[in-house]
Amino acid sequence: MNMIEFKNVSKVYEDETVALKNINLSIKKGEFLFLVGPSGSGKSTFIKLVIKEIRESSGSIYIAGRNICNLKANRIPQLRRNVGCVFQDFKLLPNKTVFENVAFTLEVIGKPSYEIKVQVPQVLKLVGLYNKLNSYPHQLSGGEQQRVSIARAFVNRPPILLADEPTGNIDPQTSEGIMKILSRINLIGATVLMATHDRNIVNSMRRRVVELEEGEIIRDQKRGVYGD
Amino acid sequence: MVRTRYFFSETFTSFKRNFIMGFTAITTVAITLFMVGFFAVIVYDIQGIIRSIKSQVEIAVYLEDNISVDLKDYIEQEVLSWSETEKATYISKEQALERFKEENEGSDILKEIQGNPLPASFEITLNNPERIDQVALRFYDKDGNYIPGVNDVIYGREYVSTLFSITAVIGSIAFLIIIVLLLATVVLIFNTIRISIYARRKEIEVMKLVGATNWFVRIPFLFEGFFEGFIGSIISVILLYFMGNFLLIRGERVIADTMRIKELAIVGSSNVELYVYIGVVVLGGLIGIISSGVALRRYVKV
Repeated sequence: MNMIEFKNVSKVYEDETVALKNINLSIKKGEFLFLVGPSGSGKSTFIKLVIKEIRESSGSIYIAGRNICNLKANRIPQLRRNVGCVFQDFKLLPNKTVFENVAFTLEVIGKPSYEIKVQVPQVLKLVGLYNKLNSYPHQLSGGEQQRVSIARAFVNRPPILLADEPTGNIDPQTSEGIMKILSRINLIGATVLMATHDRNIVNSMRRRVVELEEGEIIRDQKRGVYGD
Repeated sequence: MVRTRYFFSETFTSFKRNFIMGFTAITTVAITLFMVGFFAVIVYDIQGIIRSIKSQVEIAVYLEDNISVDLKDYIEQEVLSWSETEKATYISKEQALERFKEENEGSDILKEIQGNPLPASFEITLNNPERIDQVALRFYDKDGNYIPGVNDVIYGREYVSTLFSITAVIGSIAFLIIIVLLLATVVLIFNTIRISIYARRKEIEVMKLVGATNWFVRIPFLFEGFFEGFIGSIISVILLYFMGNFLLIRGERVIADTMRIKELAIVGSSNVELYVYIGVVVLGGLIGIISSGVALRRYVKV
């Protein structure tokens, strides 16, 4: 079963820059995929299309077999609850503790507090931050902050996890830890799509690699490397 | 239940964290609504003063001493038949003297009065005091002389008409000021909520990212707007209460004394303030919700 499927998808922005050209791509359930390519090659546009932050110019996008192109505005929240997102700049709320930041996802979708009290510590154990429940983001290192943001994206157990340059602001050793967590999440069953231009990480993981250049797919390799 | 608690706690944590902003909003609402309420009470008060004065506007028609009973009865019938006449009281010479003695009791002037120099009169109260000129004119013939039997006609002509025009002007100015202040309040709360939305834009971004519905994002801001409007209006009601009791009542007494009107007693005796208080609170809450609603529509595209 395809978790994410792009059929002839193009995206042209209002200022007429072409971000994606006629993209065809299927990502199976449980896959771990690297989306690589230089800045401006269309990686972020791809991710924004999946969570419907922007609209495609043409073509169709299917998530878990469902065409999301004509999704009504009031159904978009439902889509986003099934797609966790991790960003380069973490997007943590500075005035909330680690626990509150992660609990936020569940509060927003209306989970009762007794469930929140069980699920949040669980996912924080998964990312190895159980001992930092009551810290504020500014008291954490960059790697720790990114792990909180992963916990927040995954606490609701979405079937899809998107990561846009999650190691972009983090040193190599710490990045390794982040990758271990993402692999673990993938092993539990989530489909993971990670946009990156971190050569070492891609080469060490040996997963499927899709390379974008100027909005087009120029390579799609199983167990691939970053390339030249 | 869970959600209600979430919204409340969100509203109050947000208020605590953006304390300066919320404080500014509340102060703004309190001050502007206080002024709105203050002017509203003044407008009511002025209308009350006008009413009070109107009801006490009289025309005194002094009769000649040798008037025949028939002529006196004729004038009385005539006056009573006019639609403007609210009441016409006949004061005989004896009653006039009696009254004069009462008013000047203990004064030397009484000793100097020989016999009864005071004329009999009709005291006419009008139901429509603006027509006082037209009514008074009926006691003159076309040459400008008094009609037979009438010796003098007295009414506070200039005094009354100036008073009417002044109060009308004050009333409309106050009304205009209220409108302007209301608009200012709306704009100020709108801006405060907008700033509050701006301050929390990261939070809103994350909310949308993790799948919050539009209403879920909006409701805490609506609560915040309502809360600020409501608390602000409560403060302004407290201010109005003290202001009304200590300033307006005294002011009324001064007005009543200078105008020789027995009582105005608009403030503190009628339901006017209660209506104004309720109006101010309802207005505060509504302004809070509406302004934040408009700000949300413009600045939170979900």
